[in-house]
Amino acid sequence: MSTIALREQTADLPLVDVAALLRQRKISSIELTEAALSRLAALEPALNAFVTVLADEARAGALRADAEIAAGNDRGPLHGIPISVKDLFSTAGIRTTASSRILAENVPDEDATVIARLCEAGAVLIGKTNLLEFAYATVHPDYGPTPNPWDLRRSTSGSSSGSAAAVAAGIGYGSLGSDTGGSIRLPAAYCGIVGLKPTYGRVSRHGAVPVSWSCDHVGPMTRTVADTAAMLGVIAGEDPRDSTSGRVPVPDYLATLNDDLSGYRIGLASAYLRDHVAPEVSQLVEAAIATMETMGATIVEIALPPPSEAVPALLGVITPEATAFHLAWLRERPHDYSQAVRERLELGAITPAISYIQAQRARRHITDEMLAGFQQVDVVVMPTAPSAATFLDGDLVTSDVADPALLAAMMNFTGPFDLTGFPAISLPCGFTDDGLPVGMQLVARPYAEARLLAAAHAYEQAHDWHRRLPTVVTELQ
Amino acid sequence: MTEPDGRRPKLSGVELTPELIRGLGAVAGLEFSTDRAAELAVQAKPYFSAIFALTTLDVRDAEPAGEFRLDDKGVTR
Repeated sequence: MSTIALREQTADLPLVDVAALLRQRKISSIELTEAALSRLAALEPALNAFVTVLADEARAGALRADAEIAAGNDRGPLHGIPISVKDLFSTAGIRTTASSRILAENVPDEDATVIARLCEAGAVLIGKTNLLEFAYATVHPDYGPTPNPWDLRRSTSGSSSGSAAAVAAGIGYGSLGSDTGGSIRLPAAYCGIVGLKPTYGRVSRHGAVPVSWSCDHVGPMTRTVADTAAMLGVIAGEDPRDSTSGRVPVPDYLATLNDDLSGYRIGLASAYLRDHVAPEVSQLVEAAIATMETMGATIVEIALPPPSEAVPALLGVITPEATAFHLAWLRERPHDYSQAVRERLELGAITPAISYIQAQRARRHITDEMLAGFQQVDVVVMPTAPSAATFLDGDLVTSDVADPALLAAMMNFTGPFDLTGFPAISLPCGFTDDGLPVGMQLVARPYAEARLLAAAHAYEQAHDWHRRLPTVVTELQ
Repeated sequence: MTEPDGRRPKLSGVELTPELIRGLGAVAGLEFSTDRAAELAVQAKPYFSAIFALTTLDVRDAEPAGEFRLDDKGVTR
């Protein structure tokens, strides 16, 4: 019988655990940073998770954090913690490519709001991670795909591919991703980690290279729910530089976590459970629902507008918005895009204005119906992705195939909540017979992240899924 | 204001020929070769089929979700 390897080395521990060790002076930020950089050096040839590694800057930041902590200047749970960020967040003086040829030499003058907040919180930035080109459709050949740490022949999905692989492989304790159709949650599910797409407006988009201004979300990717709560607490909150930023107070997300699901009403919507889902994914999600029921939750059947309405509406919004951002480059440098991204941008250019406006009206209509469905429940449970990680060869997301119908099917469970802006989290709910992680998605009403995180954390404590080590790490040991 | 049902735009049924795609591209300032437009026509069919299907939703009472607000830009003195 094979032994399941669990996360025990310092590089593999949860963020909140090493933050506690830092405060107890049992470990230093420079030790954590060296461990993360060492893991990065060992695995990067296989994972291709980073566009830019910031080893010198990280060491300097770690030493600064150690000095501040020693002097009693504690900046909170991210102080001295090595993390990475997706390479579409502007970093002052540091190349920000969006894994594209178009922005290959782009060096911003200022930090994105979320980067500034992470730096203010004392986080140590070890590098900028690989993504699908412009977080849209496919891998650019200049950058290449990020293979899955659980099976290097398989996809990490996208678009926050490098972030998911890095976190799963113990290269830093968290990463920052972005999500317009599922780009945080799908790679989180494929890589066996936690990924949160917060409510639209909860986290500033200022300084993130956009896919779609009205559907882009920024959120944390970590190994545990508590780690996500810690990161969200730092990056959330109003930003005058983002016109859609919400003026809603930020609660202490860590303080509201507990192990209890009693009193929770868990919603199930038939349109979001079994349609186009691999049987073993359905079985694991149903087992997770049964676990939550035994933990005290009440299961409630509800009706929600189906993915067959929400995903086309999402495509009708994001496709022309993406092209509006790219139009000048599309006219002048079309050959610098990958084939699939160029195709999708060209489709956006020929979309009639009336289609965009009708999609925005459908969005309002679907959001109202979704709000009505959520009246009866605290969270709704469903799969994150239709299957576990697919093989890289022929993968829908990362290959050079851009079949819009297949891509829409991939976004069935994630896309509707980019359209409506509801907060949604993916966390592991088991493994397939092939040893691949499967993600379960919990969704809540707008700005109910505290309740969402508490439910996800409680379920997480019932299993050790989040502690299992991916193959690429066990083979190192 | 609620619009009459009969005035919902009927976008389905349009044949997406390469010529039409070249014309639409030109409106956006993009020049598609004949071959390129033919390739794009193949991709365009499922995309437009999906978004044109939205016209079956009854959105008569729904305004577009996009918002333009000036409530934090006004003079309050």
